[in-house]
Amino acid sequence: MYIVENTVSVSDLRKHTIDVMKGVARSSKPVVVFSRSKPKIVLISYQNYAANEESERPIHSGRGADFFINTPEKFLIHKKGCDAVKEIRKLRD
Amino acid sequence: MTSSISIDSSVFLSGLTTTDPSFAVSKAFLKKIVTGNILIIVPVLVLFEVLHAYFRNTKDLKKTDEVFQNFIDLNIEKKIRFINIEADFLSYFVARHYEIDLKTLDSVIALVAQKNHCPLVTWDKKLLKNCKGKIQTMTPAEFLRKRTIPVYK
Repeated sequence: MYIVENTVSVSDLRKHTIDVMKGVARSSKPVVVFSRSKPKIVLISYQNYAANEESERPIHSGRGADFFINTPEKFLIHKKGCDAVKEIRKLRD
Repeated sequence: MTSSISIDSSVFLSGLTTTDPSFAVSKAFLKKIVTGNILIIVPVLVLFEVLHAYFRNTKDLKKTDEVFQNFIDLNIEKKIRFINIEADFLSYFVARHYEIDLKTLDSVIALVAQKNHCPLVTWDKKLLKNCKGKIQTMTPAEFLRKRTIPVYK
């Protein structure tokens, strides 16, 4: 086995690229690639990469503050000639 | 320290109305306020007016309720504080309403801003005119031009 405790050397990676790739794709854990006894890069499955990307994306809840900034189209008033000041005046006068 | 600001119903409604002439400016203003460290202080009356006017223009109870829920969420996020019109405010109102010479509901809007020591932002010319020199008032456009939170005097 070329992956020992989720690490692999560059020379093993070069020789057994396909096997290492298969191991990384199967495992949910990242694999650290060592070169000259030092960690150089980390390999993770695309599935895990995509999940990480998703979790780091800013959350747009669509509620509260976000609702008033990015009001969904269906909640906007599109009535022709609607003037907010006049509408409020109708309620106050 | 958190700054505070009072916002009139006309600004909230304008930010929800694409056909309103000030829609884009209201939206930019609301974005600046809710993303900044600024607390919105409004009488609960503002909520009544915005929801009432929203329903009158959409005739959709579900959507009106959703707007209401989002005001509540804004309150949970501590971005807005609703001021109840109670006996405490009544004493303040009775002592000062004659100074601004406005109708009852306009006076409530203006005096809640004054009592809470925060500027009032409105599109309503009547409010802007009558509060001049007594309560710091400005339009959302003026607020955005100044780029700073005005200090109540």
